[in-house]
Amino acid sequence: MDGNGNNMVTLTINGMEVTVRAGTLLTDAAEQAGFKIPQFCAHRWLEPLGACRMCLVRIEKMPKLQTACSTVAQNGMVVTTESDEIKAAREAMLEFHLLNHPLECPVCDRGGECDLQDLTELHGCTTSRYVEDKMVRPDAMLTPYLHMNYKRCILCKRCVRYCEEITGSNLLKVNERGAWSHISNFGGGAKDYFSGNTIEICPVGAITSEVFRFRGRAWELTKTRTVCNQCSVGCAVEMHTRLGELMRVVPAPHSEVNDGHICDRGRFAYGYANNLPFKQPLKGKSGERREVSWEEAERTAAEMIHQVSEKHGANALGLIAGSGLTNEDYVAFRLIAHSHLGTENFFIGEGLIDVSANPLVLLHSLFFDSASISEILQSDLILAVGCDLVEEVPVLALRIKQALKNTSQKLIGLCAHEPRGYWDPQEHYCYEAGNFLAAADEIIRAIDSGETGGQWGGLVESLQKARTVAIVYGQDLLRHRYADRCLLALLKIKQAMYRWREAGGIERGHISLNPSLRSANATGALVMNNLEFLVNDEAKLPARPHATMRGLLEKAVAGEIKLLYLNGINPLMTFVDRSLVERALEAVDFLIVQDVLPNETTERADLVLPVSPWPCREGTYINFGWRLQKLHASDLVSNLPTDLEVWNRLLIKLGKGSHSISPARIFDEIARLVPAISHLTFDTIPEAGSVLGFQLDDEGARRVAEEVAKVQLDLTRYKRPEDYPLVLVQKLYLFRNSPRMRYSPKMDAATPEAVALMNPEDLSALGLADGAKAVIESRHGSIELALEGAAWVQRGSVIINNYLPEAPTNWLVSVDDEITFVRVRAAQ
Amino acid sequence: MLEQTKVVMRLDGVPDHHRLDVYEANGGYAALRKAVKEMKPAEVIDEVKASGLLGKGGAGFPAGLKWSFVPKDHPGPKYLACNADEGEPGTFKDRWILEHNPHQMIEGCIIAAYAVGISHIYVYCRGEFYQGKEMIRRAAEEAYAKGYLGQNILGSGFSTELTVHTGAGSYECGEETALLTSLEGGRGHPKMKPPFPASEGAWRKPTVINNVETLATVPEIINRGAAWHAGLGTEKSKGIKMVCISGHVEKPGNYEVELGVPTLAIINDLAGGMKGGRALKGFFPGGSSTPVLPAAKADVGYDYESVAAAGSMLGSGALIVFDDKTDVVRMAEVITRFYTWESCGKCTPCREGTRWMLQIYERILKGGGRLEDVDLLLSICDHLEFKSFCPFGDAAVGVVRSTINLYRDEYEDYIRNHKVYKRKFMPVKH
Repeated sequence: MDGNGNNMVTLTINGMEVTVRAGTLLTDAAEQAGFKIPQFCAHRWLEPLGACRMCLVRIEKMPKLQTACSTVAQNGMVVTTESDEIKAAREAMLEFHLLNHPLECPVCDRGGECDLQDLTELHGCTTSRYVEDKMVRPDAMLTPYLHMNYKRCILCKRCVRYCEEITGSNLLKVNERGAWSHISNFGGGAKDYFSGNTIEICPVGAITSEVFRFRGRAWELTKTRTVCNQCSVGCAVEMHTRLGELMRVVPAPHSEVNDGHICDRGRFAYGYANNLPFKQPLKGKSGERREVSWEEAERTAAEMIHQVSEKHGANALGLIAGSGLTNEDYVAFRLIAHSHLGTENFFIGEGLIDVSANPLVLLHSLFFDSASISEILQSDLILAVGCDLVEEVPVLALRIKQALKNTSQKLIGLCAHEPRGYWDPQEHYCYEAGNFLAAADEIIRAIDSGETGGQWGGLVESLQKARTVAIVYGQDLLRHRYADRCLLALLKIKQAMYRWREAGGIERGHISLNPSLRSANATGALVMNNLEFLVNDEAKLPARPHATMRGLLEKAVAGEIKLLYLNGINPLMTFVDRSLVERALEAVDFLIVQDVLPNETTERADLVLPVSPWPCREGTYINFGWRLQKLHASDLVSNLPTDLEVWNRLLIKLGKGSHSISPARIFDEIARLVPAISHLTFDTIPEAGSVLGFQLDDEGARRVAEEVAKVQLDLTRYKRPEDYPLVLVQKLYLFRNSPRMRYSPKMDAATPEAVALMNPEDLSALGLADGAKAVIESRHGSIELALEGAAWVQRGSVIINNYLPEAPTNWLVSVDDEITFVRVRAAQ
Repeated sequence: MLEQTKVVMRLDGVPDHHRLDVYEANGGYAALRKAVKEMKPAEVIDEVKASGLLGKGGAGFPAGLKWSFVPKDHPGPKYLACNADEGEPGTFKDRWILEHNPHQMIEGCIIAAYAVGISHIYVYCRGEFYQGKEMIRRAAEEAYAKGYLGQNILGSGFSTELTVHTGAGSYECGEETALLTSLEGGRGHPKMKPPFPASEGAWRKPTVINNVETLATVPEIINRGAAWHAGLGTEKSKGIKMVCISGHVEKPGNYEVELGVPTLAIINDLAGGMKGGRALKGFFPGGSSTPVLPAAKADVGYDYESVAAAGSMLGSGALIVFDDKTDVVRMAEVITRFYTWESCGKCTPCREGTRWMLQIYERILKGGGRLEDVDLLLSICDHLEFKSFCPFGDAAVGVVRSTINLYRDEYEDYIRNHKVYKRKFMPVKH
């Protein structure tokens, strides 16, 4: 036994005695002893296969050579990994591997980082005895991004096993038999959001990235580690640049976040950065729009800001920063808006949860109830509420799937639709679309009464069995006016659980709540918008936002705000109510939009200030699991300024002082103010980042508990109006037609079709056919979409992708509506 | 004059003995009755152990020992997989049993299931055995109707089910772990051992895998007693063996003999001698995977240890005999083509090595051989043998190595004289 109570075994490897943990494979044991055993088919993520036969070793008392990758170290084993016999075996296996291999390293994308190349260098012969015709099979596309070169494939089946064992999509299979075996996608019926990882785990250059193919050699690339900005998981990635261009994005090892996996969006949707459509600032509404110099743009902006604040007061300036900026940007933004410009009308984030109704409870939950990704993965029960994990937090979903293997942990889905047949949780419960609050009420009653029958019986039983529960709630709860009340309902469920545990004398355990927010730094936006919550001495804080997103837009409509400055936000697509945004943009005198890519909102701007893209950015993000991580700027060449640089120049033009443009200095300022990160400086943030450990003391916890108990939820079941009998469910998809996808080459294949999904029975009841064009209308607006029947859609609901530029669902929604009722009719 | 010792083939010649009534009239299912009524499961295992019954699929592993490896305290279910995926070239004994004596095999299956506590028997039948699988299905129906299968067999309280599962035509699925993956619905690739099937087999449950002939021998052991069976054969190879004689003999077919009889006697006394009185050149003692033995060794005792001492294996008991007019290079090509075609493709040496050898053979037969090709073939054999994932690789090299060692001059004759083999049919392209 070692210090941690693990059983140890001692064996001899090449005459060296080595002690390893029981259950260690011989390859790992040999590595501990300092001997590297070559292997192709084995991979730390995958079950041993023993197919490539590269790792053959001699074990005493065994008649044949054994594969080290599949043999578990045992006490007293005597193993030889370096001898003439083993050398001959390795040479023989490499000869077999290279028989049909084209040896085209000079033109192969994998050259320089290829296992076959490396092992041939180390163990192979210099000449081949093979004079026959090589097996040739034409290349194929396995998915729109995976180019398969069959000639190079050594059939280690790592890719097949990845899609079987890790993602479970069964995207790839082996077709035919023997020497004719080849990897196939069997017609491409399956889809897999993680298929890009097969590029890395391929030990040769068989699977290559269609996006990166023939664009650079491994050794010419400059590698910069950073944090992916495509969703809130915050995977560690490496940007590979060459001659000032971003060539590819690959996952970086980070055991606490992505463990070396990334999703296909994170891997492939980076091309926009190399070819930004905005080269210069743009002035004028569309039609009379023209490119202007930065000098002119800054002058115009400064003049307008000056004019408005002189004429209508500083509060006539409205500023909103979206949730994709860095924490340093946010703090500077607050300071500039409040102290330099003097307005109270500014907001950070996308305003999904309106905390103003009950700030103490809601912010306490958001700040103190969250768990880190490792904590979520170790929970007895992971409950995804209104959240399609794989679409919203893809790599977390993948890691949960891995964590659930061979453990008693459980994943339960609680959602407004049936499981989609891809990535199913072990248990799944449905609440009536739009009616989560009523379901929450029933669940609380079931917990309190101890009844385990009925609709929620199974869920309650599972909740009661688990000690630690991680609740992840998603877009179905958040993209509503009543997001705050959904969170309160979850808090009440949590409290009911604690009540039940205390009554039964059971240990309290831990129940965490994490919202799955859409953007990369949505958590950072939440923190920085409510920074005062974390600061001991509030007097030191420069500014405090009083506005909400909705409030700001309404003020604009009312004419109180004359100039709107939007920073990295596209409210026309992301805010719940399109018509409110439209009216606000219409009402303001001047609209300045500062963003990286053209979108619906930049189209409407009077002045567009383009800024540099993500690969050029430095700063920090806070991910879904409250991990503060550092972004590094790659050497991508961009002549566009960062947000901080634009603001600083604007301040100088306005004659209102200046602001630091160094994220490092700003971060150090924040760290001085916020106790939770006071031990860090920008330079000392570890590569793996640091989980923000916000702790609530017992007194605070008691106060919050009291507050939660006091909150009365209006849980009355809504009634469906007769003329609008269907409930709209807006769904977030990982691959959506967002600007980053639109402007990245070859990404169009991944974006889902623009359809409204309905239960086939509802469709036939309406007399509408699959694929028919239909009008979906609510009391507030209408959109036109093709219909598609899907059995997983709940009856009485319509599920629509919430990011369809051609048919934005937020046309149908009003900020005043709790639930959006719609009706569907055939289009003319 | 060598006589047959008929055990599995004891009813050969009795009309319609595939039918339950005929089989019963000839003492069928008496062993099952005896086992479930008079013997405890452990006693059945002990009886089979004492009889020295060896596995007849090729490896010759003691059957009783195999049964006793299944953990007794396992909560179940446990499975029996009857390996009827007979695909070895030259072997057709299981086919005869399936088509002519299915009940004796089923009876053996049920006794084995009773001994080990198995709740479900799977007969994994080779896909091409169209008639065989029909016969076994029909026989199983008859047995069900008579209460030999299903719930509470013969009132003993023991229950077991039988399912006939057909493969899709792959030689590799005769390997026990590949058979299990195929049975589970997967690709017929062999699995890692350990865990061995006896502890974690089909659907990760304890599974016994026995050959058709092995199971068909069991009823007679129960009927006549272990001592009878142990008294047959040699010291180390006890019992009898079905021999499938094919090739250049007068009367090819299935014969059943006591283990240890001289091979030459089987050829001359049972199979009627060499066809047309020609001279014996060599023979495969146990199917295409076993190394060829020359005519000089034809007096070898037909048992596991004697054949092994002679440098080959008894294998599945398929005696393939060839005369002095045989072109051994062409013969080796045909068999190598079989192994190339049937390699499952899982492990590199077997997948690549078999095709490489075939390509060399094809070149030699086209007159394009090089003298170094012969040593190259031997070297590939070295690299393939004992290094592949499953024994398939070892099987594939047997014919190549043994024919080169025995008839190297014929290879060199092809190469030196650029001899071209005239094909009647074009081989399948690859």
